[in-house]
Order: sequence, then structure tokens, then C-alpha cells
Amino acid sequence: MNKLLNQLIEQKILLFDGALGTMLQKAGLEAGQCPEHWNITNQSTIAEIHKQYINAGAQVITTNTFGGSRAKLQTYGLDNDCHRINYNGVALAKQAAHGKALVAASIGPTGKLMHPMGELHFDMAYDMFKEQVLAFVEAGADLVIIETMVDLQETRAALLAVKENSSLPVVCSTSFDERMRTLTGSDPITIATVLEGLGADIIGANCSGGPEQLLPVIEQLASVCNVPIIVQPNAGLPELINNETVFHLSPEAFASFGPKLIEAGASCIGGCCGTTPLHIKALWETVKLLDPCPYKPHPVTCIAGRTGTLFISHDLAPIIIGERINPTGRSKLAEDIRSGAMDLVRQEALAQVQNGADALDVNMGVPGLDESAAMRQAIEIIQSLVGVPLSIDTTNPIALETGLRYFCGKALINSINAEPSSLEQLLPIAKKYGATILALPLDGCNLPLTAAERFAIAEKIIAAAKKEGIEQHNIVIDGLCLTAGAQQEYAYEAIRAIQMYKSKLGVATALGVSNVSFGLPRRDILNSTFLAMALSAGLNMAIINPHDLRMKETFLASQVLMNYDTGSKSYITSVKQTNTQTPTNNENITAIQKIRTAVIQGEKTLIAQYIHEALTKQEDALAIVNQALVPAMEDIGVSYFKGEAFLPQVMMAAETMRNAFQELKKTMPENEMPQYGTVVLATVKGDIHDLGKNIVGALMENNGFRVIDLGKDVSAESIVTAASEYNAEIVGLSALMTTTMPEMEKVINQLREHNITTKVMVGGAVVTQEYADSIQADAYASDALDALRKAKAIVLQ
Amino acid sequence: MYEILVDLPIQIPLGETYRYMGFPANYNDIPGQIIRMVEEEVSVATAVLKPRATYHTMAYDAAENTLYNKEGHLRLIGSSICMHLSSCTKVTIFTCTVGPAIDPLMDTYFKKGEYTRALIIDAIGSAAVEYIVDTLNQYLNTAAYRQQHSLVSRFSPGYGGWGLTIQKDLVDLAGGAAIGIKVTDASLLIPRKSVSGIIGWVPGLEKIQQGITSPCTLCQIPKCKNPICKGGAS
Repeated sequence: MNKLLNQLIEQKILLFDGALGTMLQKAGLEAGQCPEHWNITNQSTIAEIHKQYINAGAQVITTNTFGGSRAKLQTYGLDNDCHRINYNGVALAKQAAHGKALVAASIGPTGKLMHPMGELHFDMAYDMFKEQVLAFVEAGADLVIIETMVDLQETRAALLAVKENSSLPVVCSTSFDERMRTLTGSDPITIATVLEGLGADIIGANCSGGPEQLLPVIEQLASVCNVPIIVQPNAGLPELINNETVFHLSPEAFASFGPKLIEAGASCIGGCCGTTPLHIKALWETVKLLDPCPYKPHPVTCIAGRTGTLFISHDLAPIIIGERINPTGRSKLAEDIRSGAMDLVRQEALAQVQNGADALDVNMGVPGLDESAAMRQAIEIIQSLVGVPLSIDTTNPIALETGLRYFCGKALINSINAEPSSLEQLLPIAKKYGATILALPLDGCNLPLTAAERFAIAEKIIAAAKKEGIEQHNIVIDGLCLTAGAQQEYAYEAIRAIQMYKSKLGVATALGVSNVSFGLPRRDILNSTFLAMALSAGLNMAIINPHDLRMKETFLASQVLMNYDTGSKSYITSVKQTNTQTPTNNENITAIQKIRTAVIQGEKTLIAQYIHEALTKQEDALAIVNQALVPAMEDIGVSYFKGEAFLPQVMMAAETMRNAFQELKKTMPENEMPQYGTVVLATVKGDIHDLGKNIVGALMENNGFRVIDLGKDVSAESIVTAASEYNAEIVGLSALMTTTMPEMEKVINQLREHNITTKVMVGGAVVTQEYADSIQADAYASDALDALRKAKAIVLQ
Repeated sequence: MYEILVDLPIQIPLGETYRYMGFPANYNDIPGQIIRMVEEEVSVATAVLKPRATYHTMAYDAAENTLYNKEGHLRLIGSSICMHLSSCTKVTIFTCTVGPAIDPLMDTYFKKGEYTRALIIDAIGSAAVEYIVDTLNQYLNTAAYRQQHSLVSRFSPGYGGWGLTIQKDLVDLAGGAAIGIKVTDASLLIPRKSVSGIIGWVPGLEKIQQGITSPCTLCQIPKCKNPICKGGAS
């Protein structure tokens, strides 16, 4: 870390400059003008501002390139000048500094939201930052400062762009809101954990608020950071006075916070919005004789997601890593991953976290699949849904690097073993991305049956990791769970190994508990008992199925008995709730049952295949209709009325029925299809709401009715004509507004006048049974499923 | 004169989208394939939505139930709305829309048999327009605060017993035509994903304690199944 670190070590406190934007406005920058364009058009002004800060005492000056990304410049039509603007920014600062100050090339946010909230994908952001970095290197910047960042993922893209395209030291400074969170929900501890792991040389906070608001942020950063900390507050909180934003802290008032910020843990200090050379000069007077806080936090094993960090220690409660996103032995999940749909992946991510998983293991090992692409897709999907840390479960170096690159956090690598190829290929990747390693005590020779053998291998992995620059606190060791069914005498060695790791090495431990019961009946009993043993021995990370009720109960009870669950609060809350288990997979279901289940679960893409399979197995098409499809809609209806399923699932079932009938029509004669009759549907005159009517039509059409949908805003005359023309059994009328409801009575009266005996069913948000009775409608439907049920009742009478 | 806001930033609120689709609030067991479809339709919708608003702040005479300025006036009829605004000295009338793109998308999905996507895109449209109204409401909260006023909860025609027939006059005065909003003979707004309403200003910064906090608490419609309904008569 060249001159920057040397200067820091010599001087102890390093003074950065203040706001550039504030000074540019004073120099005549108008609203709507691009500040960075002045690197081309007003070079002398830029240089003069830098000189003013140097004369005020700043030892590091920041270039006028904060908004110099291609995306930002594009908003001014200046993207073609991107390289020139960034190059000039550094060149002007170097010229002004003339060796008296270091030049920090500034990178700010692109102004675009990162995927999935916005359209900016990681690689796009990386490329934009890389473009800036290359210009900085060419112009001779001394370091890069990534500042005022509000999204950890965007910061990661910028940091990697610097690390991979230069050897410049890099400062990462984040802006937090009043809840001490970034825009996308990251707290200071998580920011520090992730960025320090990725190689940031200095970490800190700027903007956000005045110096008082940043004090607690710096304290939090200092509690985990082992690199120097920077703070650059605004000159107080902004106020809008006469349509102008004013920062009200005077230089003296601003500077008075300097000693407190140093005491809180900062060793680099400067100013942001509203500060001027006077603020910086006053600040230096208050801090120049101070020493930075000598306290350095003791490093603790941890993993992090975007919204939080999990610390792993023998003083802290153990955590659950959900193991369910793993296609091994699970054909449906494998197909879901192979197809790219990732529906089950989404479901498992949400469900496992809901059931208490603190982190999620992600394994995309499907034979024949591009594991790297699948891993990237899965991680981007999962982290858009949940903010927990992830365990990247692969030994494929390409898939591992992909996973670590796109994961917004500090991941656990599951796993690295002592085989030379594993150490050589995977340790450098772990080091680069700052991941925590799960070390598996295997060395490619004989299986280590005893705890002592595993311990010896673990020591080798730790030594190799240290050579790579990975400290012990970034290593977790697996107890290596063997199956009691095949190696009963060695099953308990995993427990002994955990005890040895804890007592002799002090490292954190992990165990994939479920392996112990493979091949034996009532796996839940064995798994939960083994889990209790492992927790008692000091297990820190339990890799389990969080849906397994018995495992969950054992885990919660252990937390009480080991005094982690203070006051037994979590345990008491949990046992008061009912927790239904996910039904286990039954491979012996019949083809008919499979179809029925597929309709209920809305598996519209697979239903044709199931129908085809059933017909191939000699199932009768009529039997499929009467024993699978019709009962399935009744089942979903029952679930709906019980409040266990909702309209979207009903719609999925209707789509599945549609696809099922389309497949059946290929072999089943038209006259054998269920036929309940003809329904004419319409939203009445003056009313343009048709969603409800369309849903009714969808259900009826796929449950044996012929539907004539007249659309919306339909006159009574048109409805009556259609009822007669199509010889409809039922006319269904929808109205959403009290002002349009009276049209329903018109339709009924006209039908009677023309002696048309079609039955009339009414429905809509404002329609009631009482109203239906008052206008002598034949039926009232409270919702779409009620409409289907009553329509069938009408025609079957 | 009314103010016009165009190209308002929009972030589709997923929780509200799921609620408009028919899931209960904070429901956690949404099937993965539905989540995926919602993600896809949010992308589709974001590309075609045109979030716009107009608003017009006018003086309000509570004794006469009339809003007025030099350009015009409008008398409010309906005990619920008059009671709601009884302490107000100013009101802001507004219109919001996300544009006409949702309806044809929904029609296309239904025709293709993609009922779930149709449901989703309709829900997204409803959530999006409410998001825009919320955004406008927050902006007005700030403006009111700066002028030492508090706002009462917003009220739209057709809710809480306030008749729909005022819709045309309200939209005219609020400038809805400038953002493409029309009113049908049956007093419905086109495009469908549009909202009009009124927000009352009360002098002072103390939190307003009224018996009425939401139009729904005044609503006389029993068993209203409109997803926006958060309670009311049953």
C-alpha cells in the first residue's frame, strides 16, 4: 500500500479534503450543469479548489470525478468524454498537488439501482467502474476513493474493478441513513465485514449526516474493522432556506467533533457536503496532535449477507444452515434447476428462512449442467428474496468463483479439503473474495475414521490456508459425519472431532448432521439425537433441514439447555405455534393421483406429460377427467374456501386444467368431454371492470362450460340477444360500481319480457345476496369459485 | 392552476401486489413459480407504466362544504366527506394514473389462457397507482408541514359512501385531462388504473384525532371485496 500506508503510519492521522460540489457551486456551477465537465471547460477553477484544500492542510485531495461514470455522464450527453473527464480529473489534481498531497481518484454511485431492484447488472456496473479506473491509472492517481455509496453490491463492483485493474490502494466509504442502514439495507458491521474481506485498504462513512450523526457509525465500524477507518461528515444536517440547501455547521463547530470521531476509531478524516477549506483547516487544528484509537478488534469468525452479519463463536449461539437447496437425490429440484425456472429454489429459499435457517447452502450440482451459470442464477435469485448469508456448496473452482463474485456478502465456501488440487485451486479464490472456508478433513487418501486422523488433516488445511494469507478465524472445520448404518463404530468420531477442534484449535465447527442416518429407518430420530450430541460437544454451524420438525425442536431445546436462548423466549414462542411438516416425496403415487396433485399445485408445464404418461399406462381419458381433473378443482375449491389457498393458486390450477384438456382433446372425442352447457358472460353497461368476469370465464371454460364472453360495458339488449342466440343456460352479469348495478335489473326484466328462460347469476364487489334477491336474479356468486359451484348446481337441477 | 407531475419514480410494492392478487397481508407461503411470474411481470410492467399525477390546492370553506379559488369552485355533497373535511381550511384535489398499458396486457394474457399472469399484471397496476398516490401524499405531507398544517387521510369518490357522480367535476378541476384521464358517463376513470381524490389540510401540527381516520371506517358497503378495503362495515 505504498505512500498512503506509509503516510498513515508516520502521521497516524491523515487529513482528507472537504466538499468539491460546495466549492464548485460557489465558483458558479449552475443547477443542471455537470460538475465533472469542468475538468474540460474550467480546469483552472478545479486546480484552484484543490490548491485551497492543500493550503488548508489536506494531505489527500479528491478528484472531481465523483459523477464520472459513463451512466452518470450519459445523463448530460457527455458519455463520449468519459475517459477524458476522468483522466483530466486526476491530472488536474496532481498538477495542483505538486507532490504536496496524495491524489485520491473519486468514484461515486452510477445513480442507477442495481439488479434486482433496478436494471443495472453487476457486470455492467463493473465495466463502468473499470473504465474510470483505467483512466485513473493512466493519469497517475495515488489511490482510489469509492465514496458516498448506498448499495453494498455496487460498492463491491467498484472495489473489484479497482483491485482487478490496478494496484492502487482503495478507500471504501459508505453513506447511511438515520437508521444506520444503506439504501439497500446494509448495516455498518456488514459493510466493514464484506469490504475488508474483499481487500479494501481503508473503510469508512461519509455524507449521511453531520459529524454527530456519524459518531455511532464509526463506533460500529471500529468494532469489527482491522483496517484504518475514514470519516467525512457533512457540515451538519441540510436545511432548505429560500430554495437553497444550506449546511449550517460553522468551521469551528464542525471541527469540534474531530477529537470525538478520532476517539470513536477514525484515523482518516475530512469533510463532505457543505464543508470548505475553512472547515478542513479548523478540523486539522483539533486532530493533528491526536493518536488514533489503539484498540483493534479481535477477529471473529463470521459470514454475512446483504442485510446482516452472523458471528460464529463458542460464546455465541450456534446457527442453522438450511441444506435443502441441493439437487442430490431430488429429481424435481434437479429438473427445476436444469430448466432454469428455479421455482423450487425460490420456494426453498423463502421457506427455509421462514423456518429458522440463519444461512442457506446452495448446491447446483446437476449432471451435465453448466454449474457456474446455474450458480450465478440461483444466487441472484436467492439474494433478491432473502438477505441471509449463503454457503456456496461446490468444489468446482469456476462455479465457486462465480458464486463468490455475484454474492453480495461474505460467503461460506462448502468446502475445501486437504487434497492438493483443492488447496491449490480453491484457497486463492477464497482469499480473493474474503470468504470463510468450511474445511473438510479429507485428503484424498484413506477415509479418516478417527477424530485424531481428522484433526491432523484439519491442521494441514489451516497451515495451507495461512500460507495463502487466510487467517484461522476465517476457517470452520467440519466434523465429517459418517453414516451409522455403514460405519457405526465411527459415527461418534464426528462428535469427538468437534470436541478436539474446539479445545485444541479454538476454531468454529460445522456438521452436515443428516448424513448420519442415511439408509436407516426413522431418520428423524437419529438426526435429531445426533444434532443434540453435536451441539453439546460445541457445534457452531448445524447444516440441517429446517423443515424437519424434530430437528428444529432439538435445536431450540438445546438453545435453552445451553443457556443461549435467554428466558427461553424463542423456545416458548415456537412451541406455541403449530409447525406443519412438508409432505415427503412418495414415489409410489398412481398416475391419476399425480395428475390430481399437479392440478392442485398448478404444474401447468408438466401436466401434458403426466396426461400422456397416464394414457400410456392404459388409464381411461374419462377416468382422468372424473377421477383426477374434476376432483382436483373441487380440492382447490375446498382449500380456497378454507382460506388455505388463494386466487392465484386457483388461477394456476385453471391454467393447468386448460392444458390438461388440450392434451386430452387429442385423444378424447368432443362429446365425451364434460359439458355443462353454455354461459354468456358480460360486465354491464357503463362498467369497464372485467377482471372478475374474466376469472369466472376462465374457471368455467376449463370446467366443462362453453363460455360466450361479451366483454365489458355491454348493453342489456346485446346480452339478451346473445342469450337467445346461443341458447344459453346461464347469463352471468358483473358490476363493480353502485352506479352500474341497476343495469343488472334491466337485463333480467328484458329476458323476462322476451320469455327467455335463461337463468341469471350476478356478482361483483358491490353486489350482495340481498340485492340479487331484490332484482330476482336466480343466483348470487360471492366470488369466482362460488360462481362455478352455483353454475354447476343450476345446470344439474 | 393545477400542477402536473410526470415520470414519477416508481417501485412496484410487492407486498401490495400479492395482496391485490388475493393473498392475505404478510403471507409467507407463496409458491415459487408465482414469485417468479410476479418478478417477470414487474419487469414487463415497469417498462410500460407511465406514472403521472396532477394536483391542485385550493381554499376550503367547511361551512359551505365548498372548495374554491379564483378559477372555480366545487361543492361537495355527502355527509361522510363533509364530516371528514370539517376541520379543514384547505384541500388538495388530485388525479394519478399509471397509464393505459395494463388493460391490453391483461386482455392478451386472458386470451392466451395465461390467467395467472393476467391476475398478476392487474395487481401490479393497482399496486403501482396506489404507490404513486402514496408518493404524492408524502410530498404533500412535507409541503403541509412546512406551512404548519397537518393532512387528514385522503378520500376518493366511490369510497366511504362518497358518491361517484362528483368524479367528472373533481377530475376537471384537478387537471386530470392533462395526464390523459377521462371520466365515463358512469363516472368511472379511464385509464382504469387511475385514482382521483381529495386531501384536507388542517391548521396546526398536532396529530389529528378524529373518529374518522379512513374512508373505509365510514363505508356502508357490506362485505366489500375490493382489495383496497381494509375494514369497514360487514
